[in-house]
Amino acid sequence: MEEPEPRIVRAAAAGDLEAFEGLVRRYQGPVWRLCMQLLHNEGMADDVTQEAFTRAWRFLSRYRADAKFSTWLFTIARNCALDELRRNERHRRTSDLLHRARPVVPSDADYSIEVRDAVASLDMAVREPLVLIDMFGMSYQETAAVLAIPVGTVKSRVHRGRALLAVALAATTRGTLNEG
Amino acid sequence: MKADARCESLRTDISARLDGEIDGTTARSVEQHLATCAWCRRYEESLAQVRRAVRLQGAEEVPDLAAEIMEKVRPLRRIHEARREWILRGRIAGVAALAAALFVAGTTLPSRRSPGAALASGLQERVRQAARQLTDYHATYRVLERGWRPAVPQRRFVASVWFKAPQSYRLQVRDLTSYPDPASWPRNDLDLIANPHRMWTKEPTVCPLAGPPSCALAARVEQRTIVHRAPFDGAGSVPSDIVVPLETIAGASGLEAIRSRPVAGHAAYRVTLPYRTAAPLVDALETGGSWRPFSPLDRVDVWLDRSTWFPLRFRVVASRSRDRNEWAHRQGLTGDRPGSTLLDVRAAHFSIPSHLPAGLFSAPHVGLVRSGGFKGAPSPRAVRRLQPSDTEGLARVDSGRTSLGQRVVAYADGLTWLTVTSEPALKWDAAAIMGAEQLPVPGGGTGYFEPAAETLARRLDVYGQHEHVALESNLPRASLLRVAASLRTKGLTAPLGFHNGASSLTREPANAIPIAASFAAAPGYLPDGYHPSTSFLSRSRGVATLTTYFRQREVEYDGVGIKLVQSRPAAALPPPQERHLSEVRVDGVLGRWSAERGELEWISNGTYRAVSVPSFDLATALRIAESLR
Repeated sequence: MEEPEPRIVRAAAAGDLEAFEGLVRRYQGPVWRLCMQLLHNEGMADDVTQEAFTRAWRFLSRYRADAKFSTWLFTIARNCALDELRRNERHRRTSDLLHRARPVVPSDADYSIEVRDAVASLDMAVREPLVLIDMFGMSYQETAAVLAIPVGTVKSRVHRGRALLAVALAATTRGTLNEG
Repeated sequence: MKADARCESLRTDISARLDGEIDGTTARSVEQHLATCAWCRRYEESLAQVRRAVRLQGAEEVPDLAAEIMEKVRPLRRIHEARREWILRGRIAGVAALAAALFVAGTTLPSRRSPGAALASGLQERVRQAARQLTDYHATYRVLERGWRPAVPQRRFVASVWFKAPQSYRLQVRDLTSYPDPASWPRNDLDLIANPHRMWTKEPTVCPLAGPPSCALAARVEQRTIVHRAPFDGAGSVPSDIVVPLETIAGASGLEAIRSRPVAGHAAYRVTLPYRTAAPLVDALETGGSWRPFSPLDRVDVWLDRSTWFPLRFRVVASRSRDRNEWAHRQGLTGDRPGSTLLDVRAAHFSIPSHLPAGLFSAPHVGLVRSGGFKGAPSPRAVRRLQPSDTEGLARVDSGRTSLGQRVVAYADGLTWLTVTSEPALKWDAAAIMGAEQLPVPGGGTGYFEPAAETLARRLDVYGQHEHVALESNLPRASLLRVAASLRTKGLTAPLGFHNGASSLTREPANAIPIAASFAAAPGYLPDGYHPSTSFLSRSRGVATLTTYFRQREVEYDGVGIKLVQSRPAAALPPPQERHLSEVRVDGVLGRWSAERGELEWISNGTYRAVSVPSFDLATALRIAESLR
């Protein structure tokens, strides 16, 4: 992910609202998509994205360029999303919902929905690294920083996520073809 | 061809190879295998397909939330403008702390009555009195730091400080360390100059922990200037409430001062504090650049002059506990032996100059320049309307208007300061109100109080009918309440509840937890000095959550203190946020402890409970948890 110019981040940290708005416009998309991947609810993703940027504004002065800005921001967004899950215990219900069998029609248009649902059905532990790496193109090192886990764990979890997805997608396609 | 053990062992590397995340040797080994194994080639293709499919998922349409976000952020700026200046605040305050610390050695202040029993309350009052005496000085400190980086186990510095009351400082830290390769390791030389209207800082760009010396190739020196500073802005404060030894002492409960051998030729008392309390004093040196971190659990010894009550020396000592070890591991610190001195700071030279040249505090106008937006001298009528009749003996030193239209009047005496900031009444900010302790102001009205934190001043907000007045100071809480009582503005009491659709947030009595929520329990034990500060109940989507803060009255190092969250209904613990979690038995059930966040979580009888103690250890969290009734 492209990084902002350090002077923009410094200006925002020093209280420059215009600079901060620039960062919001640039990163709201990735942050919202990350929230959506973790929460599976557009309303909650909207709320959590707003909360993440509000928190980022509060703590921006503590950002010291030791990490990439995007990594720092994603860490905040992820924590906000986990807080939301915690508040609502939504993860359990969402997970139940997603594990329910559903008819799938394999067409090009719906393949995307199939992938989305298959990703959503993964355990959080493998889903998070998979989303950060495959969807956002983060490196293993950056992913390890966001998730506070070792790089080796990132490597094995993203592999496990891909392997599970490969099986799930192959199974739904086969199942529907058999029905048809 | 079937997959064999070799194929199994290479699967993870095949996946990582797609991301370019394996080293050359492993890559060659994988490639050789793929050339001969059709099964693994198919496996690789299936993973690559999944990878492509997930990547395309990211292309969905996203909403534009920028306007909503900026709407939320703007009021934060308006109300808490001063609080956002924490870095600079820390810097200035740091100088003040050094100032106070250095002032000791050889001071010629008139000797106050000799202390008999050095109890905490006596110490606090005497240190406060001493802070009021400080006017001009110049001092030098010798600093020894251990454990910064494995390749540089020990660093030495000399720090010089000049101070002129009420708002002029100069700090110069020079790094005397012999680095393995002086050309590639960045020197931690720091400069800070502050005068009433301008502040300038110069520091090396910080490298990550594992960074030097390689990152030093790109290392630069950063310079920042703030022009048109508001008085004591961001606690750029003389004397800073959060950093000077008086605040370190004010935040310590159950303090015992023991007579010690003379230090630097001065009769001394030694006091021992946890770093979480002494952080303001220790952080005085960390005004920028790169320094080793300390655990809140580390021990700090401070030697105070028996006559003047200023510190002669302080040192940080590594503590011994499992939590401390885990903390060091997370920080990547491997050389901290329990009981070893990590930082030793000693006053070396001190003088009280009769005249400090004005040029000494002349701040350059270079680097990243930002305006604080302050314009001096508003109309005398506006000042009269704003100023409290009781300023606790502090004299007016400045007044004006910020770029946001807030009127500010500042008062000081020696190192003690107070600012009164006023702006037109705003809509209630639920988050700010709920986080603060609601207090009755003597003589009528309500105030919202927050103790000083590592980088924030003690603060009392008074929300009147037509204006919102914020008092920020290093005066004690009782003094702030007296000042508030003498304001023209009488504080309104915020609504008990805030509602947003199906969600609600209501303030509850912090000292009557079971009344606030029938499922909630109150702790029978709290560490010394902690009391129920604020409590609120949120209801959303059928879940009720009671959050209660317990804080010390004057200073709270982490700003949070102790937090108790109780939520119902709950079936399972939420997803973990980190990998360093320990399973712990709490009140007969299995819970988990995060040393990183200092949080203990468990579920009993359908209620989720979490005790957060970021400045304490597991033993304290367990003791609180098991005292819940």
